[in-house]
Amino acid sequence: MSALQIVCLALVTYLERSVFLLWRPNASISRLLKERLRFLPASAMGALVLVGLYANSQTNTSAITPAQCIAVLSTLVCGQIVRNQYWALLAGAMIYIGLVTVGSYILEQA
Amino acid sequence: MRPAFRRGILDTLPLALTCVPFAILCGINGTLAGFSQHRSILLSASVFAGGAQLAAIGLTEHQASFLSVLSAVAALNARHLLYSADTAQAVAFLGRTRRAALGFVLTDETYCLASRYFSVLSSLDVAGYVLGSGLLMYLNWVFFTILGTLTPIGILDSIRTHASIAVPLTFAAAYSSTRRSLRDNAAFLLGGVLTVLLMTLAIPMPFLVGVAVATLTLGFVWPPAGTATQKPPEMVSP
Repeated sequence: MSALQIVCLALVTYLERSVFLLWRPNASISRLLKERLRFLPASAMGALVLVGLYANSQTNTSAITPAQCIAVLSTLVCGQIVRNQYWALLAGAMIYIGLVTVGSYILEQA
Repeated sequence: MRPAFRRGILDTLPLALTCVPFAILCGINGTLAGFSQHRSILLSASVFAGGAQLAAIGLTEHQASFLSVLSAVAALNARHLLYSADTAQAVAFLGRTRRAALGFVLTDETYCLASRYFSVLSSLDVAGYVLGSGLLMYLNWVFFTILGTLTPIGILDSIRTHASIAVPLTFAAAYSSTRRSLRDNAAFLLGGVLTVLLMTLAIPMPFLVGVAVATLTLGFVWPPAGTATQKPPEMVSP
């Protein structure tokens, strides 16, 4: 990625963060944005999670993919229970490390 | 403004510490994806958005086109539109230059912390709080990204396989940490499944098309109930 492309990403991010700070839309546009685009963050995150898992399954060994899927599912469940993204992430990471360690040990024994 | 600035820094300190591993990871992932040290630092210093950076690095590593990367970053950061729309009401009496400066540091963490004071502080104090919180997050983020880029390659190679879990795990944690309705979960699943399906069918710009179709379909199918908007996660005050 070139420096110019990085600057473009920065510009897009900045514009999204500041567009309504710089330009205050009228009530109808504001309402339309909130109504029609309210599922955008959830869809984007869903796409990133599943695309991440899919891309990893194409490059990693078959033993790692199930561990990653279980870790992501556990993170989703933990997040809903504790409502804190850092604890959820930590739980997911620990489960992943545990699964990989146990999996490696079993494979070695076999 | 100064007490609010200090309060913003103090409130953000614990969160800044928890962001350290993510910042290091951004530096490491940048190096693994073939970014030079300068470009990794430029990415962190200019974009200053962890999730978007991880997504951009991941997509670049998987040979995605720049348009796909740009659309992924734009879609992922779209929540900031809502943050800025909400913050704009609280800083309505500030000049345009000051409001423009606030936009750069309006991250998830800063917004979540500052939004608790929108109804009780003056515009100037809200601005001070956002600046204090945002500047700490920014300096912390850039510093630890630099540290991540300095991690030796030998160590990087050994963790490459397992580091690939970081992106889906981070977003799964970010998604699930707030109260989610059935509709949100449907959007999460539909966006993900559609995008992966489009990828396997080799449709151009799968991320943009998949996410846009999922968002607009659900946005039109399910009208909002009352004035419900997505609330940020609760932040524990230190």
